Amino acid sequence: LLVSLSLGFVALYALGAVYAERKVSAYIQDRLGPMEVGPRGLLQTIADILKLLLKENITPTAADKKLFALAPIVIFASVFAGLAVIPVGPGILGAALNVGLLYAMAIVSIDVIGLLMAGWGSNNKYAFLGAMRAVSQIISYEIPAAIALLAAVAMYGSLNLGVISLAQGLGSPTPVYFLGWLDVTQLGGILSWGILRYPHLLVAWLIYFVAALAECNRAPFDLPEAESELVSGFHVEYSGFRFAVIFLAEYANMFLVGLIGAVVFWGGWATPLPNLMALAPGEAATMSVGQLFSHLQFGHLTTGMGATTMAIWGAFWILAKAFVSVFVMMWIRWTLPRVRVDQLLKLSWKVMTPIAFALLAISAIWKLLEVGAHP
Amino acid sequence: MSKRPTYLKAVVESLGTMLKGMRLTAKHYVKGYERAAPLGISDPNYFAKTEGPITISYPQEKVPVPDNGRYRLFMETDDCIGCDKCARICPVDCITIETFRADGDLGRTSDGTVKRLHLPTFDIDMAKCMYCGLCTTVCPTECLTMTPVYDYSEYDRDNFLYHFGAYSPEDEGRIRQETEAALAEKKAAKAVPTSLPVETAAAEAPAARPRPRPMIKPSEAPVTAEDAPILPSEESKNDPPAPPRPRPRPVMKPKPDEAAGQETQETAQPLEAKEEAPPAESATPRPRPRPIMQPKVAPAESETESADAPPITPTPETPVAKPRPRPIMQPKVAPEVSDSDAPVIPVQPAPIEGADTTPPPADAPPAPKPRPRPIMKPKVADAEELSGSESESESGSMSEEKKDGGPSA
Repeated sequence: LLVSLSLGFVALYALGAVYAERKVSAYIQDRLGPMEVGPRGLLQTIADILKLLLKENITPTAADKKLFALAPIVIFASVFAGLAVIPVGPGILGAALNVGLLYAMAIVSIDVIGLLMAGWGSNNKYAFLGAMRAVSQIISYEIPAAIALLAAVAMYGSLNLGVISLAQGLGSPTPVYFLGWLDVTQLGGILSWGILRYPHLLVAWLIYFVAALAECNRAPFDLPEAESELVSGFHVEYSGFRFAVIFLAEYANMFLVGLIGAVVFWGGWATPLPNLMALAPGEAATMSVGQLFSHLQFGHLTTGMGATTMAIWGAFWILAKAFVSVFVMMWIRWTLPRVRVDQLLKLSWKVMTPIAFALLAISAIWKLLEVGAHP
Repeated sequence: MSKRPTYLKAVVESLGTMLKGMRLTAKHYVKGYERAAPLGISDPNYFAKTEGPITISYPQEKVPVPDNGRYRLFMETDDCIGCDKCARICPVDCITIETFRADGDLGRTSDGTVKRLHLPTFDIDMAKCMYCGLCTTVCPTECLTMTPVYDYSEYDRDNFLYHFGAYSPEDEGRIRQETEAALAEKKAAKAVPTSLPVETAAAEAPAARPRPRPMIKPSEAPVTAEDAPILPSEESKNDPPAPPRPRPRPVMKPKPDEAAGQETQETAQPLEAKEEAPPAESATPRPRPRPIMQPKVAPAESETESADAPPITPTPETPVAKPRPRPIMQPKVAPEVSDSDAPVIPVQPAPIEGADTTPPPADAPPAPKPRPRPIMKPKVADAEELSGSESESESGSMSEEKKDGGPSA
């Protein structure tokens, strides 16, 4: 049930994201974007996907038919599998793996194999070039991304994304110290988010975000697609439903990356609004909504007190954070020009990787000091 | 050691420039939703908008065009006298006009010009049109205009052929037959009585008598107000057999015919045509253009010479005869007039002027109905004189005549 639900949601999200991408690019470029299909073009992507579904699946004669047919499935499956460990709310988790983050990183890496299959199987020089670029790029950027995430994981002490999320808001089982000295366990809100509790994680998030851009083949790291040089890279030979699946995987990947970033750095499902009045632990649970309001318990109000309301609020916050992240990705895409291959690799190996390691060291020291200060 | 600062500096700097760029795009993004309605070029705020999308969703919204925009051509068929000027001045030959002589006059255009040509075909091929507007400036009745309509794409190139002709193909055939039949009748009627006299008249120089007659016709026109009454009277006097209406027109037509026959290439014909044309214009005062035509000739003569006027009157009587004499006339005229006429011809505005000129003759002393054929000759004389004085009548009239001539012949 969860799987079909999330599949439907991802498909819906992709429709909206494609529409949003077109609108964002249009507004940034002083254009109008789709305007004809539906009010302000809202149904444009639906029309597009209908067209794609009706189109013929063309397999090039010279292609490796098995690889060619399998590649879109591998690409989408790997991305979709990554969603399994993302907590959408307290306790709402596809798979509560203790190695959730590691699993997500690993399964998304299979994406690379799908890309390579697509590029190789197409037996097309552009597709092959694009696939080669994608592989080198994604492998390069997994290192800084993984180290940056590790720096955060070191602070939370868990790879379970549910635990990580829980540790950044109200109801955290462990005490939450803002900047290591202010106890905000009962206040919650934005101050308990990882990225504010541990400011060096802001840099870690930056590294992770840039690396994620590269892993999604998004501009300015869209060398594997590079319309102007490689036509459209590894999926140049795809049409119809297979192309739609690859496209869906691309946007789902953006979404997944945004979700992971939200969980690890931006507080997961936690609300940004803090309680402005500290209460004794457990006291809030006995209060009515009016009382909560009069006691300025905005954190509790926007987190929910029962399981259902908490789930709804949690899903709302985490999805909002992911969407903001996706929007920023679009924003960047329509702002920055594509980098060269040498710039791409230089950025990964000479800038981001060393900084990520430095951050990991800082995390380790911070954790030591914090443990010493609050035994 | 020296490299490290540059390394960090490069990182910071690239982050800074990226933020700068993103701030810029964000600014555009925020303003992306605001969009004002498109302004016309004549709007004082045309250049005021510097932010936000400038895209115009074309079919739904259009940039306003000036009220006097000059794009697609439009022809007011009721106002066209079939002068053919537009077709001839068109640099790309996108106008096709076909006319034939009418049996009598077809009424007047909104500016008072008398129509004497049926207009079965007036086709404008907008696919060829280059929007130079020459045809509209040359149109004597201003029936051809350019409209602010600029979006009229078609899927089939043939649809760019706009038909402004007055009749459907079926009607055209019928009207043409009827007209020709009527004309033939008149011709026959006229031919019998006038033929000989006309020649004689032609031979004769403009006589003093003619004056009164021309006046008579004008006088008649005013009195009767309608052509029919006058014509019948004339006919009864001159040619009992001929139908009432046909006569006056026949007169007109005969002239054109003659002109047409001879004209075409020679300037002399144009002159005649001009002369005739002005009369037509002059006719404007009253429905009987052709009668007027004659008067006009008379006026011209009268202006120059009082004696000339009379010839006009004869025309009504002579209508039948006229055709014959005119051929003769034209040749004569051509040589004489050609010199003066050639320059004159180009002038087009004549119609109105002609109308003006005609009135004076009408004013001239009312003469009895005398339909002296000698008038014919006077006309020729008039033509010559007129060509010198009036000239200008119209190339358009010539064209009409030419066309008429074809059918009449």
